[in-house]
Amino acid sequence: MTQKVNLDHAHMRHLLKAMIRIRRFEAKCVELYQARKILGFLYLYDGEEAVSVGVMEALSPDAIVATYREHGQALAFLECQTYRFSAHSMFDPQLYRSKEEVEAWRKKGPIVRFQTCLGASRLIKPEEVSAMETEVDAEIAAAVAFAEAGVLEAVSEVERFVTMEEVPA
Amino acid sequence: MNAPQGSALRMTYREACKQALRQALLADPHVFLMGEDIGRYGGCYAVTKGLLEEFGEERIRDTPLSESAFVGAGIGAAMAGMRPIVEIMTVNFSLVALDQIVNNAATIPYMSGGQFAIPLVIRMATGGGRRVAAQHSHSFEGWYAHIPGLRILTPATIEDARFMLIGALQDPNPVLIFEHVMLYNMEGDLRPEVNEVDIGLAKVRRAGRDVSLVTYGGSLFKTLQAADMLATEGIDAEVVDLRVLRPLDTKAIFESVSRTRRCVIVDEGWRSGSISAEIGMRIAEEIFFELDAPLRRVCGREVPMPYAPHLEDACLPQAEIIAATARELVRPS
Repeated sequence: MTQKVNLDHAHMRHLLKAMIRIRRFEAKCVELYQARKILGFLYLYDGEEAVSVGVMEALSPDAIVATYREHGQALAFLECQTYRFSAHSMFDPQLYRSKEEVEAWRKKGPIVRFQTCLGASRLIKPEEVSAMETEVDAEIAAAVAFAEAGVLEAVSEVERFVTMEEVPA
Repeated sequence: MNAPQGSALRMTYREACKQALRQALLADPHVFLMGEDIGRYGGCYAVTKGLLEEFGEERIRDTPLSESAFVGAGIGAAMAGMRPIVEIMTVNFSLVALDQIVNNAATIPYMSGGQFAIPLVIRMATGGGRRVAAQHSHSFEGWYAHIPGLRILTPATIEDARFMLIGALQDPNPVLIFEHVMLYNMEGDLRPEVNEVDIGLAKVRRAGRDVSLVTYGGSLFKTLQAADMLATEGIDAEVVDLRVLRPLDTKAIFESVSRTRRCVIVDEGWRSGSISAEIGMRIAEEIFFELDAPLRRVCGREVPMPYAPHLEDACLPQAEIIAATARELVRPS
């Protein structure tokens, strides 16, 4: 990447909002997991949002295949040294690191740093950030309501897609 | 091991697995454990919790996330005289090590003309029911039972979880132990007078005259439940726990089916090309004229395991369908 990236106001807002959306979406996932509405495994990504948001910026919209470990992320050949605040999974008691270590890294998280940097450069106002948070929360609430209102897939459909009828267009 | 004389010792299946490992580590300095997160983390199903503190890093070895590498290392260690016990988190991940298990562990004794034995034990979790979907829930023990050179154990009871490992370690061949994920929290009693079990024979877990229900592992308890349901209707079902999928104890299967003259095979694995198919065919080949009814199977539905609870439950053998299948054999509608 030799090209210099020009960060205008709209683009910066877009990046920050995307990271906030991931963070708050995952917080909602934890809540739903604890309410046993999400079962099985839950792997969180908090602290690493800058990677997925940055990668997504470089990808075209149709280049994304995500699985259960990627909440709005995709893969590319980059090495990004990151620090995840949450445990590996909801079963992980985190015996391998201290609470103090996690707290120290939280202060260096991508959202707090980007937000602080933008604020210090007067590129974003605190009320813009809180407006973003409100918007994101509304999006997530709508998504949860959509899911809650969903109908369970019929058992008779359980073999659908085991094999494909045709190559999707 | 420190049970008061004459009283049963109550423990979980998980604890029984752990006590088996402890006993093996205490008994033989050549025994050591290898696997992902088995040490500091205590094992993904907490079977090895506390063993690192007790036995140290030399014997409880956390490995990198490479099943092929650490199973391969286990094979090498076994060839060099050690008695490694390798843990693979789940049977789906063992597929990453299939080359090592099938092309090396199962063939080296034969290809070396008997110059090398592979006294390796590999433990892994198997089976569905935990809502962890299509990459963590399958039952591939039947596949492994296809491979000459391997012994395949499927402990279902607390006693087998506690003692099958001892026999596995005495076997000069690679032994794969499949622990069903839904059994780890199950509690049961260890009889104080039992301190070993065989690793070759099927066992009748419930005697009956009308139909043989042949099963293993996590399906055993659903099958026993089905037998209870049938008993209330006056149908006396026998439940045979295979315990060992390779080599199959066909003698025990034939003996039971020859008495009841009817057989339902219950297997969480997919039906096509399954261990249940093998059992059915052996019965058809050897004791066809003892049968009074067609052979029947209750198997896992042939789909990658779905995540949603109602779909996963619909894809696994359940007591109701086992009972209905047996009932239809005994009292055709």
